Amino acid sequence: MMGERDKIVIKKLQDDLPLDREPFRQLASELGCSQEEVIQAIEDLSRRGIMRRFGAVLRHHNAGYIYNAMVMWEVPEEKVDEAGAYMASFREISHCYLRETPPGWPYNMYCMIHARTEATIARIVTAIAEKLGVKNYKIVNSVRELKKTSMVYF
Amino acid sequence: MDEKDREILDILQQEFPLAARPWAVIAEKTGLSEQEVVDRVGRLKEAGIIRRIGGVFDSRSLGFYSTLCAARVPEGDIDRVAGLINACSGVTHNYLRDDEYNLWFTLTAPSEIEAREYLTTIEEAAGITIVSLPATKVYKIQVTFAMGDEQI
Repeated sequence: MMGERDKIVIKKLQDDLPLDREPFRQLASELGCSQEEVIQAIEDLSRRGIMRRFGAVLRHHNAGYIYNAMVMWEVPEEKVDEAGAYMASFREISHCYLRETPPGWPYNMYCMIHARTEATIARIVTAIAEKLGVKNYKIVNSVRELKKTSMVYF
Repeated sequence: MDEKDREILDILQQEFPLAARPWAVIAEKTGLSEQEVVDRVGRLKEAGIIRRIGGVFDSRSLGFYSTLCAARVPEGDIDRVAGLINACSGVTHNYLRDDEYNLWFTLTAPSEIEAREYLTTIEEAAGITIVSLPATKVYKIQVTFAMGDEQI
């Protein structure tokens, strides 16, 4: 479970790391411990699966990945794990989920594809559709970003 | 952006050095000085390429509930409705998309009950119906963008 100390560390790490020569010094002094102990705490959060990674979060559009599509798929129940594994195998796919389907809503699988060209997105979608024999799917492109932030948990 | 910037971006995303002086470790890997790395990272932030350097947390492991939401909003009403949705701090992503369901956003909340309350509040204030599509299984979450690799 999460302790109070975890929450203090998470609270700090969900912020932007300062560009100081020793960026963890401030956090160490707030926690009253050494920088080595702060680093151990970060590694510990990672080991426990609470932190997926520590590092830079890019604005993918500015980084040259200007095409971002969400693809919704109607995948038969018995094929969802195969579909999930196959979709996950593409480097260009950042997210892949099985989701609840409200009444009248056909799509149960979702993936996000990021690429530098539109052709890459089309190639991946075709490969997935053919491999799984899925006919009902829909590509929805982003037209405008209305909000994009990182979650503030504590 | 040059070759060194791309190299730095890959290190920052994939193997950020957890050390007292991380920029010095990156400097050693890239053959730059510590100050040059700091300057370049500062520039990449100013240019809006790096949004943030920090921890990326798993909302489920933290006990939070999250869901993907979709709504149909008339073209002329998008800014007003987006304003109401975005005012909720648990809404981290919100996109206008080219579908009959044109507004897609993610909501993260401490519990499912609180998430539902937020959605009801938004529905009533905006006069819209929201479709909530919580994940039942996660196959992949890996949001890093290879910069050195031009193939993607």
